[in-house]
Amino acid sequence: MAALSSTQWGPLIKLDRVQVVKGVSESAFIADTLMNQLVKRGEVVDLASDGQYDIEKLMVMKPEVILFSPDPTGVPTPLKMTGLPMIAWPDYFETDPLGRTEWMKILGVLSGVSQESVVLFDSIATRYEQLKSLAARVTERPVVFADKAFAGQWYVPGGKSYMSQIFKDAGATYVFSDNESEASFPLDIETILAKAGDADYWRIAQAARGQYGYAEIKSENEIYASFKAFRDHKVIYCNSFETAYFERGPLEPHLILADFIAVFNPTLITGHKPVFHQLLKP
Amino acid sequence: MKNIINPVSIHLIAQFLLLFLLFTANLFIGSVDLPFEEVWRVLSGRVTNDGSPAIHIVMQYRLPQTITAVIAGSSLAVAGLLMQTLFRNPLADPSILGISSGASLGVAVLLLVSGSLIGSNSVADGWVSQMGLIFAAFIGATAVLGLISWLGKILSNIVSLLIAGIMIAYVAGALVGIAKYFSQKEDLQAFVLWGLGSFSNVGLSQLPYFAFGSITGILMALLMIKPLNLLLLGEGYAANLGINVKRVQMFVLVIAGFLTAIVTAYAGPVAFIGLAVPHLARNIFRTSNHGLLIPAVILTGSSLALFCNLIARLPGFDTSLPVNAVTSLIGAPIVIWVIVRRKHLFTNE
Amino acid sequence: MKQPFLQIQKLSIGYRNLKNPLILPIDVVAEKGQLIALIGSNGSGKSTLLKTLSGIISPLAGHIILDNQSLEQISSYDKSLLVSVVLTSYPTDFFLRVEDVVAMGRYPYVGFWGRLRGNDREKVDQCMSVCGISHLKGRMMVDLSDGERQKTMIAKALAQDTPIMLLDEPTAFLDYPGKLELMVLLKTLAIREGKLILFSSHDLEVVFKKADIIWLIAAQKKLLSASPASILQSNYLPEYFNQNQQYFDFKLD
Repeated sequence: MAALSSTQWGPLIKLDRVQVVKGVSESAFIADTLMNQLVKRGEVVDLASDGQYDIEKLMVMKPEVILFSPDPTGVPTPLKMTGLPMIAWPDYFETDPLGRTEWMKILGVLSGVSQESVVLFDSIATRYEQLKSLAARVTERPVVFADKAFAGQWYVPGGKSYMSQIFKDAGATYVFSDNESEASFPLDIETILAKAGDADYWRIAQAARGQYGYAEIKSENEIYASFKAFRDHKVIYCNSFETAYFERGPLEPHLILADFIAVFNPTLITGHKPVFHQLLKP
Repeated sequence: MKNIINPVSIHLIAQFLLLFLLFTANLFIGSVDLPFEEVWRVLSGRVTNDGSPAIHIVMQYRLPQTITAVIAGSSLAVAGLLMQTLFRNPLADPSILGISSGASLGVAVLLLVSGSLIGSNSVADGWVSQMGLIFAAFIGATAVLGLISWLGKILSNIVSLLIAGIMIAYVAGALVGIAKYFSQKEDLQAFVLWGLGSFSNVGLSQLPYFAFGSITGILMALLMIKPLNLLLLGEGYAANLGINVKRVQMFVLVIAGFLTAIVTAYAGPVAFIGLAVPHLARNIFRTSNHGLLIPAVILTGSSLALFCNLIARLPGFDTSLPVNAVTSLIGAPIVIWVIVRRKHLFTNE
Repeated sequence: MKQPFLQIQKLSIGYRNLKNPLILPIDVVAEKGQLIALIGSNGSGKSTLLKTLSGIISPLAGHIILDNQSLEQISSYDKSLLVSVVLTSYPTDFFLRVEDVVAMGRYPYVGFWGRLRGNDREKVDQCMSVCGISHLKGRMMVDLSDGERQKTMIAKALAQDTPIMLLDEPTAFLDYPGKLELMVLLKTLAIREGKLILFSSHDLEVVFKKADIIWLIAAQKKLLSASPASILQSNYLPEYFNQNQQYFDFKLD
């Protein structure tokens, strides 16, 4: 099969059925060691880079099925031309963290490990629910906001988004939880300052290479120093390049949740080792 | 000694008051509805840090943004005036020689190409800082300016140079197109965002550099008042009146190009201010004397940029509109209005 | 012995990228106070000679001696005090006023910022009045008739206060009374201000009536300098214009 997004082949590694994957995309951005080795050895072919499909390679490979992320027109035209069987994979529309994980059940069916995938999902779901009910008991919910400004606009996760849900489940209050949007939406920087200026935590996820700390944040935009979370050194940071957050996160949301709970309410989980997120050290 | 209350002085005073009014409005009005008294207390220094967001919003966000708008507006207006005089063409504007396309190319290389080369989404991954963008835009713009100046030495006349400049803009645009084609969604979005322009990219600590560059360019322009006026007569007359036309043209080109480069670097591409403001100022002051026009476009350009910035951040909306779109929406009708009004001026006599 | 004010010696003119000079080398002299008309058919080199004399293009060979100085050795600033020009092009900027254009004739005399002093303003007013355009003060250039615009450019050249004034086709686009009026103005300037005025023209009739001296040029011929009367008596016009005699059947006053 050709699995064009990391959320498609990620679960297959976990289910030990990665051998069914013959093609991936954007291998330059893959953080997973195993998948990188497979691509390097030529067992898995990179079918798209820089957003452009290599249709000829795809037609030579003739996968039994192509898993793809739909674009605004539905099936991307180049893929349509191949005439190969395809399954649209809009998993990222799921705003419920476990909803996104549940797509692994389809992968289980497709790769002949249906039973195992159900078991795996149930164990993840159980762990997630346990953590969630743990965090639900807190009496003081810290306030959190997310992401950064660019060129005068600041896109923040919508109030009904995946991130908003995880913040809530982790026992925090997301600043824009009243918002009705499921996707990110832009706000003027001063609006964010007014609403999140004195929020307790600030979550940033990016794939920085090299040193990243408070000095680097401030050098990107001086306005960041006006946030209380910055001044108090309460930036929750995820280096997706080092942690393979975008590949593993959707598969194991209980790990994301655990990281956040450990930051928001350290007393609830003792001895937690952060997987994706941790407080950026001053 | 003429009476001080002549029409020109009245217009200048009115423009100055308008500028002051818009400057103040930009500090008091924004997406966040801050009470008037609170902004006043912040501005008069009576709030130091009582934990209210007002001090941060006004001092760290609105103030640098307002000053940036003033600097960008006046610089672009002066650059536009110089280009219109240089090419004796009312449609000339700061972007006509591809200098802002050069800035776009610089940013495209930074955001789109280099990201692919090292295997990372530049923006989603956060390694592109505001300083990096400013630097890339400035490098791109000055590279084009250098190329244009070099061509200016080779080409015999200014019209050939204009054509060459427009072609360079196309080439830069095409290279940007290629870079866009081969780039990641997130980087593309970042590039689009940059292209929409913003006055909020310049932090307080960066402002002095921006201001210094811009003021240097404007002062240089002021030193050129006499030769600029002579250029209006045409190259032959100007040469006969004792100036080295070619040298003056190159000098004007470099000043206008530098002003454009620095504004595009700090605020992204901002359209129509450079085109509309000289027309507006000429219409208000009814003169083509640069001794009056340069100060006039500085005032009018600042006011127009402040007005656009105000529109972009009207209260009641949590988000702000892209500055480049607002300047086009307001600038284009101004140009049309100026032309229509001129027709009336000269046909109804 | 006093040297003539303008001496042209063995002057070859033309553009460097053309193989042959337009006309044979020119040898001619002129004095202040003379109104000289430069005539010849299209492409004979009238504009090129005027441009060479004003220093916009350099001679291919030979010398132009102005007031005992070689033109090529005069700085462009000093040249602006010696030679003024009226070209076929005119400024088109929208808010350029008549008096602003005339005032620019004073630019070689004013300071760095281009601000006119009292005596400069007087000079501008005086030149406008001499050219009969005082009533146009405050009007925009784009708003003028061809004749008014031509007079404005002449007033500009006059304000420049130079001993030599060169005009390229000043009578073109004017109606007959306009052409005559302009000739009278140029004649007055030559006599009253003691200027050497050289202009090119196609309007032979008005030119022969008003000019003191005619310079006749044609491709591959010597420049001929003579009074209008002696040229009319000769056979040179048909020869230089390559036309029949009846084309030139007009009388002098």
